[in-house]
Amino acid sequence: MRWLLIFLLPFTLFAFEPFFTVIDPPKGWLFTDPSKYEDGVKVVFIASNKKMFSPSLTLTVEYVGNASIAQYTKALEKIYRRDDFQELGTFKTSTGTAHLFQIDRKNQWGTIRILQAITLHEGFALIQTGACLKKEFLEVHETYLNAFKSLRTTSSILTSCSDPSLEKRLEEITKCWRKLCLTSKDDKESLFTSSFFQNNHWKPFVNYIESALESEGICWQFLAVKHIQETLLSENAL
Amino acid sequence: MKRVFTVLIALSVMLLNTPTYANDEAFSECEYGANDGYEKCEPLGHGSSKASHSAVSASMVGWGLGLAIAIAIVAGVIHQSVATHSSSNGISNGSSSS
Repeated sequence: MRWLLIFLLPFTLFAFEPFFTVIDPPKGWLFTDPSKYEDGVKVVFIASNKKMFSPSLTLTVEYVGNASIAQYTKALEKIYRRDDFQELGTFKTSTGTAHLFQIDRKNQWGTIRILQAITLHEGFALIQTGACLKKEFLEVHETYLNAFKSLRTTSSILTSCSDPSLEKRLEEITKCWRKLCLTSKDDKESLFTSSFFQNNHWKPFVNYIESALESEGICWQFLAVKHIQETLLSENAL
Repeated sequence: MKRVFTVLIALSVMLLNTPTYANDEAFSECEYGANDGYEKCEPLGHGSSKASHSAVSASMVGWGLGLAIAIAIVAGVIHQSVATHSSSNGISNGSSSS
């Protein structure tokens, strides 16, 4: 029993979401630099890079365990106590009921309005956030709501993709990764960034997703690559 | 007497583990035990806070570019003005020497 607990310990240290999440971003919105994303932030879009303060949209995932939406809301009230925080109501997504919150924050540009839709799913909070100037809110609020409603999750990345070739390619890369992890004493991060793995396995795999699965949409492609990378690095299994 | 009080106050602060300011308490505890066992013990709602921060930062990308352009313009104007000033000084120096 003790050995079993020791064996399971590393898995309890990581809480990587066991499902795949995707949204449909507003048409024409731009991806921002992924190297600047904070932990848990999956994707960030901006409406334009030519405006001084452009509307933006983010998808973030947070592990919340058994916390209920009432507990989460109470925590938000505490976090946003210095802002004008309001609970607006709920709406349905294919993943579950999303709870909508509005946060007004004053700064040098005037008042920034943050609209946040939070859906609790399998112990994780799926957080979609839109930020814009309060005076521009009426122009973008429908765009935000449509993006929020597009949230969907699938039990695995394979069930979210219509192309059957992905399964084979995923099996191949997982097999290579496991073999590499077993034969090398380096840590996973170093193994993943090694030129051997990058040039022989990872870059060809990313090229395959970019070219063969274009029909899934650019947001799906981006999130799929990120999800597979995180899965390989966290659990060594898909 | 003053030293005794100083030592007593320091000891009571350390032993009672009193937060020195309100934020200490707000961000160091693992609220509701929701994130127990996670890689880092972070309070419930930290994802929402990060998301808001990321969204606002992303919105300011244009402001960053605007600032960079403004700095480049100001730097260019200063450089030009220094060049004009030094060349006009050179002319006046030259005329005075002749």
